[in-house]
Amino acid sequence: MKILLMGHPNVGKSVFFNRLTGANIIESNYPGTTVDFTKGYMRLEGKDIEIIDVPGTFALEPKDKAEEVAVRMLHESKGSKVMCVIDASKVERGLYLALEIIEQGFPVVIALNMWDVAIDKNIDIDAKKLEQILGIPVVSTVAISGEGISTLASRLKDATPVKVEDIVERTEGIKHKANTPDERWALIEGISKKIVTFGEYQHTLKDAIGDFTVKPATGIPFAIAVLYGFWSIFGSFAGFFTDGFLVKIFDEHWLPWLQAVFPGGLGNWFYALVVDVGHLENGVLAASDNCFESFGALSSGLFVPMGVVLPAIFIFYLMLALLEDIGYMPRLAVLIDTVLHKIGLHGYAIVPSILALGCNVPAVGATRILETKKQRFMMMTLLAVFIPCGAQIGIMQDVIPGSIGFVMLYLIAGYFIFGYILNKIVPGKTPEILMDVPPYQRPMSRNISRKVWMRTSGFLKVAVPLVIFGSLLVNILYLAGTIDWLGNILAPMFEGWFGVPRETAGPLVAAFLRKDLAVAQLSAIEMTKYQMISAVVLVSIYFPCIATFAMMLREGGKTFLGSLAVLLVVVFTWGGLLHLLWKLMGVA
Amino acid sequence: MTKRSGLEKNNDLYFIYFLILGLATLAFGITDLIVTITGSEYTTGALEIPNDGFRGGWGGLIILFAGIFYLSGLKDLYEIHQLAKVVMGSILIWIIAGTDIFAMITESIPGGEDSGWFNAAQGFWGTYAPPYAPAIFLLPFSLVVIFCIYKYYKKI
Amino acid sequence: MQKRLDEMAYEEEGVVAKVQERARTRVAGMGVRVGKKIKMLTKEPLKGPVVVVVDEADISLGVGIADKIIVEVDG
Repeated sequence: MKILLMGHPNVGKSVFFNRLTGANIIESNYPGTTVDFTKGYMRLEGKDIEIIDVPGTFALEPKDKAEEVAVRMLHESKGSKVMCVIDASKVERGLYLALEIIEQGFPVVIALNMWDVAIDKNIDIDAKKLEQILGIPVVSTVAISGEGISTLASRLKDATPVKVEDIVERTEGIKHKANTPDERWALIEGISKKIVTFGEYQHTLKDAIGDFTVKPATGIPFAIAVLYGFWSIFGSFAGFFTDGFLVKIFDEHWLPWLQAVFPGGLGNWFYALVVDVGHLENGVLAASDNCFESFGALSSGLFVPMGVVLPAIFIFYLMLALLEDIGYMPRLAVLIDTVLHKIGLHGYAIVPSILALGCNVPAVGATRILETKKQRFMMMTLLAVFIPCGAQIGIMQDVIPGSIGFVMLYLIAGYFIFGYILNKIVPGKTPEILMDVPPYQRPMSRNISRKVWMRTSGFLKVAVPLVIFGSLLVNILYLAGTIDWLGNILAPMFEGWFGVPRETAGPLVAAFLRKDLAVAQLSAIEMTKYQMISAVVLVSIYFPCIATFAMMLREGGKTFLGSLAVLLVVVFTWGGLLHLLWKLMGVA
Repeated sequence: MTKRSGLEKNNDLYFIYFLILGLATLAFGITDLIVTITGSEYTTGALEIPNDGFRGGWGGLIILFAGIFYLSGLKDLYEIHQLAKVVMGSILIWIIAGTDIFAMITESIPGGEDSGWFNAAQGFWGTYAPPYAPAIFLLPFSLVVIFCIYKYYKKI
Repeated sequence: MQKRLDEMAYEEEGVVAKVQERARTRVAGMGVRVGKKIKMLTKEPLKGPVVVVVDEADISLGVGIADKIIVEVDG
């Protein structure tokens, strides 16, 4: 026997899960998707029983991929018992889902969770009577404090399948013929009349702020401030670790140690691949003194993901998880849906978009919250092309510190213009936003640490090995002369069309796979400020790295070719347009 | 419907306090924006108006919004939706001042290039010395809303 | 008087009179059903989504769904 933990999003389901299972939990991927779910074991009457935390869903007619997985999990688990967690302050809505599950013939126990919130809201529910009418165990709980959870577990054995007709009969005075939404609601209203009384409820400060942060006149200024805070903390935190400590560790300790112990030495091809290619100083090959210029797979290849990107994405994901857990993200999604819907996306596209500013790998994974294939394809493509990742932003700070604002605006403009075009030409549906805007709540450190760990470990497991592999690959291509050869072929295009010096061709070709390499090499080439901006824009438009390539292939399958085609068109037009702009301004 | 608010109706003290704070905040926001747009520098005594696009421009805009939140919420403060606006004004100031202070902390600890791992005591303390941005000066005055929230929920 | 949900004014209240077949199943799970009291909380500019209150819960609907819901309002 298995136990499925089901309920709406934001009803405290994961708190339940954590309390029931203790430490031994397994995060898994639902086969064939990237929807994560957690599985664990709870001890019940001397036996370990498997319990699954099913992704939150409002009804058994799925609206998105996560809900689809929830429904599929239910259908695959015939013979399981379902623990249905309901927000007691929104009991009618919760009963709708519970009723749907009961209709499917599952034995159900109901947890009327957030009982304390219901009391605060002067909502009085007769749980005993509800149990009588439904014919299944109903327990009032407060998951955050643990109240009622052991009672709930002990009542699991009383759960048996019940017939809807019997519920109808016990409700009295309700006509109920078929299991349609309207009839279901008629039944729930009938039950609700018998068990719930709604008292007068006065808005709290939390509710008032909740409303103001979603209303445009007050919500947009607030969102502007939240994003400022996000960005500012990101800069301070990443600077603290990267510039403050990690650069020192890598340049003064790790690189010299590698140079000392690694066999071969300067000039040896294998040493060049892994540790240091060195550079020419008065015609003599000299050792590099920092991890930006050494280009080895274990020096630069390790420094960029671990020293530069890891602190950046960690703080990004920490703040994002905090905003998600508090309940701010749905409000931001509603505010931004106005513009994103115009380009065929969904308000929730703001989540992958923000994630992408950290690292595109988890961002591509997060596109699963979008409903249709079209939206996922568009989102993946747009974020990979137009949203610079942590490493790309690092490049900008190094090479064109004064013009980051302009480059960002240019990229955002591209995001919307190409989004608009893609929306017109890509077949498929762009569904309307339909979501719950939950009240604000106190963030739970366990939820946050779980989310941050899941996303960060995705980066460590998928991105880091591929980035190191990418460094190795580029180094090999360099040593074999392939990059120079390609650079020579493409140089006329770079010079004529993009208006950047021909020496940049090599680094820009290599930048397709490795961003860090491009920085050091570009900054060494003599260029005007405007040529430099063009070069940086090109580097930003490219897919961020080989890890993103791999992730898009895994997530998108065949549509990856479409993304690649879009990329080439964008590089050509958006990069060329900038050259035209410089010409019009008379600076190129 | 009877208000449960512990804040007295028509209390002139709160009104005048948030009127002055709101106007001061608004003025700082506008100054921030002007200084940033004209690219000038402005430092007097302990006050330094930031003039970069991020802190002066984006941040200045937020200070301006904070001022507007204060001014739009100060009337009938005993009403929760009005109080909420004032609280949001303070939250905006906390965001700006908080990130400023966080930036100081992260700057003060590492030793910087060509020196030890950690900052020397003098450099450490020096980071926290004035001049400060306007948000830091507004911070203590913005904390008064916490008292208002406390008063609101303390039933009469 | 009946009007579409997306035509309701800020803070206006009404009772759901009709939900078109195509949207019915989708909004049912969120608590939007015929006979239910509904309040417009806010509308985003430029035909953005609306946010309504049903059973003390805030729900956001795109205009393409909101225009399939008919609401009976006073006056």
